Amino acid sequence: MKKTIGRIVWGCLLLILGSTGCTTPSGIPETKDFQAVVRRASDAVFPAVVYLRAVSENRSQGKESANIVSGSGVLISPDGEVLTNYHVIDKARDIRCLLHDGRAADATVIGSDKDLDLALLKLDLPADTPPLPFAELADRQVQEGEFVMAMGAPWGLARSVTIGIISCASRYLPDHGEYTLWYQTDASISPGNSGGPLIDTNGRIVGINTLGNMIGGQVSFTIPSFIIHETVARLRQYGKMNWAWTGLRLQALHDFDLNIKFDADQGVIVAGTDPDSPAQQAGFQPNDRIISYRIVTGGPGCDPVPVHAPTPEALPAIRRQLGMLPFGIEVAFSVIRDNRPLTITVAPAEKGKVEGSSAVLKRWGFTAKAINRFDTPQLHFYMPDGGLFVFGVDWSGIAGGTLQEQDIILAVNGQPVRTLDELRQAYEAALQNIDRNNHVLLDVMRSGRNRQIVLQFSNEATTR
Amino acid sequence: MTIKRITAIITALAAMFAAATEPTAEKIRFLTGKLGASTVQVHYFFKNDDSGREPPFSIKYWCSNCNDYHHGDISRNIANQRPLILPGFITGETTIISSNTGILPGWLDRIEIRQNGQTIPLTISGFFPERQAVELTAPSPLPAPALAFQPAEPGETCYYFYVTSENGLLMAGARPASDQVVRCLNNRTDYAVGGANALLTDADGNPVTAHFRHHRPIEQIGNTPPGEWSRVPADAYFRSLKAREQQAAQSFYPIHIRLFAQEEANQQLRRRYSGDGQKNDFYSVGVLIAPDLLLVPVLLDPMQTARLERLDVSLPDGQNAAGQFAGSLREYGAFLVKIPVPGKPLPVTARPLDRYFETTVYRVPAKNNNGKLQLDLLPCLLDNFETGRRGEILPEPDSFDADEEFLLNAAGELMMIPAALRSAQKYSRSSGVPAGNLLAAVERQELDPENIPRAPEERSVIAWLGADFQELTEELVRVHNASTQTDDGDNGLLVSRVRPDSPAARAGLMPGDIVLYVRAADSGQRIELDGSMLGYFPFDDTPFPWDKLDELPEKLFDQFPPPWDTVENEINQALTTIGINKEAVLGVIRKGEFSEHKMIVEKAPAHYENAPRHTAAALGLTVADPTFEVREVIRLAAGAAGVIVSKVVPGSPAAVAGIKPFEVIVSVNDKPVLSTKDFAAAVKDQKNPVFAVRRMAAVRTVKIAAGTAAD
Repeated sequence: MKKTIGRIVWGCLLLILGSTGCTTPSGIPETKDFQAVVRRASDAVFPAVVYLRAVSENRSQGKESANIVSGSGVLISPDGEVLTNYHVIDKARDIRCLLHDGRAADATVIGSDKDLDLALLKLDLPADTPPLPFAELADRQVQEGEFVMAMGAPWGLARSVTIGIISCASRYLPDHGEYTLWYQTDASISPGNSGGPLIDTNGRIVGINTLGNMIGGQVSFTIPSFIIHETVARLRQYGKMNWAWTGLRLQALHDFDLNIKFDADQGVIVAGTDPDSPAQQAGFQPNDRIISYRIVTGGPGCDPVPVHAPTPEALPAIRRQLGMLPFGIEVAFSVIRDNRPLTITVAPAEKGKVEGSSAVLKRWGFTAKAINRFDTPQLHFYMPDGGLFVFGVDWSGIAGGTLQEQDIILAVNGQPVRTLDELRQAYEAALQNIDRNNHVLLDVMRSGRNRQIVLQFSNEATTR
Repeated sequence: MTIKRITAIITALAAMFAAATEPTAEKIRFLTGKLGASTVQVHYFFKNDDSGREPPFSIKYWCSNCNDYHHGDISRNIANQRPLILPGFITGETTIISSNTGILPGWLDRIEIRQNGQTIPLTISGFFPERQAVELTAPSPLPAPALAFQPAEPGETCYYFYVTSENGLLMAGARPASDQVVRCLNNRTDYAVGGANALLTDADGNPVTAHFRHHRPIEQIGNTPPGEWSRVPADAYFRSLKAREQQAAQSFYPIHIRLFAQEEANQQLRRRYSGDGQKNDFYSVGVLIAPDLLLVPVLLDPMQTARLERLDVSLPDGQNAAGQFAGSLREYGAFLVKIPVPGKPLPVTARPLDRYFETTVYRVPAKNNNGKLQLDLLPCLLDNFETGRRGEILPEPDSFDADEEFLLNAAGELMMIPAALRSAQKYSRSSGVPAGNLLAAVERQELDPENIPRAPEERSVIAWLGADFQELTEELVRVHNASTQTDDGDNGLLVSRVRPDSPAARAGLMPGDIVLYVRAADSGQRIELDGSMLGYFPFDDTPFPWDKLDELPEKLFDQFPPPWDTVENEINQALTTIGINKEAVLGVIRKGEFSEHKMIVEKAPAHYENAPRHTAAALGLTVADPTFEVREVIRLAAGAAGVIVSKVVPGSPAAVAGIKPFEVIVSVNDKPVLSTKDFAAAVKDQKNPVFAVRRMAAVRTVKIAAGTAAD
């Protein structure tokens, strides 16, 4: 396949007159030797690509265990900052990196964000280490058809490069599109490539490889570099994105899939508001149309920012803008409702954690996690004031076969539990009492219905 | 004291002693030699009648050899072409007497005896009603002598001589003829006992008479010879039977009960009735108890009666008439129908039923053959009873199917009606009801005001308890100290939740209680609760796939079960059979202690199945008012805007717009909808309405392109 592309390209390029090594303003090389272009770009970036191996905590099986996650990353500064995906280092206990020249180093997470699937690491190297090779982030938008190369370590095969084109420069993925549009490429990205760079023929990072196929098919997605430009500073400074949250759910004016076309040529539609959210409390109604917003400060000079979402592709940018507003500061939205303008003021709140903490209850044979409205919206729906749910069940333990994942834990031995601390206390108390009472009575909610589950310590398997 | 006198006394004494002893082998040989030739085995061969029906009667006769009753299953005899063999005694040149076992000519293929290698056909020529005997006649003189009956004084009778055919083997035997007498205190009649299907002989072996009844009322029936018995010619007997049958048929009306089909709230909501609940047509026979009042012994519970569409009655003259519902009996599974054309009611006997011991009664199976009455009058001797509900003594003639047949006395008056008791559990039926009880209930107007036909919006009448239950396990009952009472969790259900303001709450139930049974307060019959009554809620173990709802194929829209458990579950159905507004009792174990909790059976509040709905036909969408169990699952507060989508027609504008069943429509064109009425008003004449649709926490705006037609 690559040979054919190469031949076609070679044939096309033969028709183009231009000196070797010159690039057009758009960055597309006009060289006759395409192979040289590819090699030059990849040679420039290979030294900056690292192979990562993280040992991550895994509590989804009802007990404490670990996974080994491998991926890739790219150095973006001479003192050892590495960009990679969040999902590579999620819940990692330790991260080891293999540099291009064979050196190995540990890394620590400086900042990460689950919604962007982006993480910034720092390599632990001795203070007197000479500056490391690094790659630069491109500061432009790519165009469809551009040649790009994906670098990384697919299946652990370090120092691999694959080639393709940008298939789409503004791909909207509803399940992964909160704040991001994606570059779609047919460069082969597969497990192991995650976190590695997508580079253009100038050797600049245009994206971080994030979503691919198990078999490395022709459709893969990367985080565009301009989004990383906007956001990496916050990761560096705060360790997290500090997203602001209003609870607004937005919808585009024209949506082909939902077969909706609003008769308006400006603005974005409010589809609804999350329950108990600032936007709901501020009075936003479904079908409101936001045309602009501005931060309400004491003085003038905060110009209204127009928002326009003709298609769903425009939504992530709007959400990102709104998400990067400061918390607690009122924002005035200009809204059209029933063809009449009105202003709604909301102070965005801190979005906070998007995943609840977890606890391992070893002798009970399950792990519990706090209900988080972003992580488990259905469970949050049943327990809007917070609660705990069964994250994983160890099937060989005493809860196997009776307790189920996603059960909401309401009470232990008659005592209500709402927080992980209360649960841990109940666990300790039950273990202390085990001689007098060898069972645990749990009140849980499953599918909205209450049930009682009994865990019997007499069912505990002993290992010698 | 002369010698003659002494001899007479000694002879008499000897005879008495002789009567008291078992006959010796020698004696039996003597009797057989004397009487055996005139004792024949009558072979009855049966067939299905001309319309192919199997015999509705079955045979029971006393066998002196076994000293017990024999029962015959006639259909087996027909299938195996096996004869029924009963003893007969030759009483004349061409006549034989034998037991009248209730055989009817329509099912009789032939009767014959086999003597000396000859097969001699016989016909029924006469009946001896008091004796339970028939007279059979041969076309030509029989090749064996007739018995010469001789009178005997009391005390002079000696033996019951018999010859029976035991599966082909002929057994001759004799028993001492005792003068055993029993007095039935119920009807104050004395009966002589013993000797059925045998010849009564004196000490010398002379035949005195033949008996065919095991209990003979002494005043009516003595030891007179057959020649002196009162006889009814066979054709007169059958004619009078036929006349009586035709007369009775005037008072039985076939009735076709039609119910409206259940509203299809969702095909997945199957009602778990015991088969009958799915039926919308009942073909039955009612009996006229007043000139214009028909009693129909069909058990319709409130949920069925609510859907009553029509009652088509077939009158005796062949016309059809529309009957009018006139009330359901409260205690019995029967209801009343007013007939527009007056007819001949059947009187109900005023005599207590136990007085009918050892009288001839008629079993009356009455069937509705597609509007035509099929009625048989089957005479039988009532010699068996059972103690029924509340100690009532109920007739139980042999092979009487109290669930299906009426019982009439010899005068044609109603004795028993095949109606069930209401508070019995669905799968156990009581055996018939004395007609007098039913008539008294009708006269006292003991009707159930809640068991009536209803308008469509009220049809889903069901009681509710308001408690959620969970199946018991061994560990769970141990934790709750109820292992013994629940038999390690086999019986009873755990209350996992009690809804506020519900009958369960008012009865004092609490989560953690174990409910063993519920029963009507005035009945000891318990409806046991256990895991089998919980029914199957598909989302018990796996949560409802809200986030995968977009992948639900359109053709499954109607079949996908809703995310809430139905209020019309088996437990609530069982409560409904107890009766709305009736007192009931729950058997509860709390913390190991058993107690009974009183409650009143209440009608369930509006629920999904009967909630008001509105169909926007042009959009292909039906919405329903969210009822309490729906609100709970979708977390829609009372008073909050929203109606629940109950049906989406595949391919319709609503389906194309992506609306799925069980989503909530919060507003239409920015107007919040608080009820289906609001929704109806909001979508009226709207070509392209815009809905705010909520699915659990996610809200989205949906615009429908309704095409050309408006609502």
